[in-house]
Amino acid sequence: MDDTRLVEGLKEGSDAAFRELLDRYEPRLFNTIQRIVGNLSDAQDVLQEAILKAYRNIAGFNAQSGLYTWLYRISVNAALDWRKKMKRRRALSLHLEEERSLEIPTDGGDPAGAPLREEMGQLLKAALDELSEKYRTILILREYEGLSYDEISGVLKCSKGTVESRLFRARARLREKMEKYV
Amino acid sequence: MSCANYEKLIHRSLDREIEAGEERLLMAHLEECAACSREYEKTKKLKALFIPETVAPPSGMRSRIMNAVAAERTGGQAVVIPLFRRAALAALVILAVSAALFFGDLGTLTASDGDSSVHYEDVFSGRDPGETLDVLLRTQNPKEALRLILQEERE
Repeated sequence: MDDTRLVEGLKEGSDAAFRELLDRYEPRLFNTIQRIVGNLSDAQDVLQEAILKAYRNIAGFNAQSGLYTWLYRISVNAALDWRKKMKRRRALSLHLEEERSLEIPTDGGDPAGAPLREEMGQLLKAALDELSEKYRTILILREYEGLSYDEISGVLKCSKGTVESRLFRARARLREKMEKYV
Repeated sequence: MSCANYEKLIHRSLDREIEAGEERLLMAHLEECAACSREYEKTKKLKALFIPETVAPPSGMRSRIMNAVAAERTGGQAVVIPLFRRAALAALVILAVSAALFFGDLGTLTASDGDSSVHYEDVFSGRDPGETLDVLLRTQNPKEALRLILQEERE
């Protein structure tokens, strides 16, 4: 079933089409959402919210933007909204505070003193969390999800030139924070 | 072309978004410019810090979404319950069902499924606990949960 037929099925309220949609996109959307949201439990809530939003709005879906891009946009926006909400509740700031205090262990690690892969992952996560949402999001979409400039431009609704310059600046900011390791 | 322009090409090249002509220009420049060559290596190293790992949705996620959509269809309000509250609710539901089974109440109750009658415990015990829990949490009613599970199995 191609995306056009899938959308038709969804608009007709077909259960089979809905299951197909989940088979095709649920894992990828979940993956992206959990990276933006930062934890698995909240990611479940956000994914459910995003899918419900897609379900409610499928009638108004414009096939020009592509189903995958449309779903991705809804999911990324839902995840970003969730982060904003969490920040307002100060829960996230506490979480960030804990992560910022992460230090490379002076013993028990690699003899040369280089952080282990898992530790580096934590350091990178903490550095990403310190970036503004627009820089953090674009790095997640590009580096973790492997989206092309064109795909990112569709998801974030901005020009390809903006994607490129934003990515460029995001990397510069991240590099300042990770200077010791690059 | 200035080094600032080559810097953009470095990012395009490492992102595999560069055109063949641009790539040739860049490679020739990197041969002779130590600063841009360092920039290339540093950007490459930065990108290498990202290790894409796929995290699969937890079991029960699918049925949770299907239930939320079903509630939406029937005009019910799909509510997003935060995980800690779900865990608390789950504990309550399990406690209630266990108590009912222990006292022989729920265990003897049956729900009609066409010609046959089905025991709650037979149906619930054969299912993924996460999925069953989702149905229980949504309906807050074991009998209604049983009806939905049987309906889902028939489909």
